[in-house]
Amino acid sequence: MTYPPNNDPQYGQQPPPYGQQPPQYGQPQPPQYGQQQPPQYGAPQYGQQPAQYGQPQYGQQPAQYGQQQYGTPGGYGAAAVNYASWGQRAGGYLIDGVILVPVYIVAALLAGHGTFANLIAVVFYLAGLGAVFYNRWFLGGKTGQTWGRKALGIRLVSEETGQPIGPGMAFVRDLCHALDSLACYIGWLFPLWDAKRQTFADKIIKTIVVN
Amino acid sequence: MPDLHLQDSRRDESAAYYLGLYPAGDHRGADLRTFSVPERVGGFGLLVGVGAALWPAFTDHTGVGLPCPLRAVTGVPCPVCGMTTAAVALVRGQAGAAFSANPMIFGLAALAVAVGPLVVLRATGVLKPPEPWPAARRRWAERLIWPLALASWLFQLHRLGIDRAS
Repeated sequence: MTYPPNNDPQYGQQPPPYGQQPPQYGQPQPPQYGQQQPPQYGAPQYGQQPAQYGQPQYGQQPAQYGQQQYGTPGGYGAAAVNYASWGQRAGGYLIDGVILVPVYIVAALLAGHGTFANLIAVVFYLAGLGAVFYNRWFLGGKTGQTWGRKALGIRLVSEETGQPIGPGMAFVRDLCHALDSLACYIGWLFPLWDAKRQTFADKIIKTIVVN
Repeated sequence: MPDLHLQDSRRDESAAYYLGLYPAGDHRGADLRTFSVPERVGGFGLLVGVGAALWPAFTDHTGVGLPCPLRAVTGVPCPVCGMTTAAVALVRGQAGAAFSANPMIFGLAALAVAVGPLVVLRATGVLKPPEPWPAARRRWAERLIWPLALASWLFQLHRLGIDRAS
């Protein structure tokens, strides 16, 4: 699987030689050479608390010595998925919306001031719609980064493949955001406490937003 | 960037970690986070407090409200209905009115109040960086949340009945 680069300093590094104890919080328990780690819900914690929430589950593949896999659960040397925070996600969404405000303000100001002005207003309105199409769905689906997400260094990828989800699914995901608004917008707040920081729409489309 | 050896000079390095000198995530088997879930929700609560202080000025001028889509469409309130009213009432010091609108606002307010000292204690290294809850504790929290949500929903049904929001 190809995944976005992780900013964890340990990501991509080879583990230390077999038999060497890495520094850890609590009692260290590095996996033995050749010994597979069973899939766990959560990575080893300091304080020796097994099976913890908050670690990625991608692929459910056991970590193997010398094998670095993005999102591999458990196991020493496994890199964590760096989920984007709620603030980053909200900021990206806000930027995507705010960028279009001037266009719609001009359209609103022109509307109702004669035929020619109305025509220009429609052009501005369509331009705004085109920008949404290009930014949210085409760019967001093809690269995982809308203008807002790019500004904040985050990207939308498939939970299963780690790849951008494509323009069609990006459009469907935005449609699914209606469910996030349904119960007093609570779905939009889910990334505050959700293990994978997903909204309802993310859970339905199986997407995550990562740094 | 140097390696993180939290078992040594824990206080200094905890503070350095929290202040952003180390990225969140896996540090040689220790999965560290910048903010715990209660801290994140508390931080959101602070935003809600600021928003609630500014909200009436906006609504007074525009008349625009923030309706619950579920109630607007189906007439059935949701468990979070009344939070805007409750937040505005609470920042005005009207605790009774806040409780009448949605008692859950006091939980959010408690987290919002707690988040400040927590941030200070973590940034100074007195408290370790937060770690994810064990699965058992998380399940316990989930078991607590669902009855609370149900109670809040019944409260809102009693308060608002089944009627479409205007």
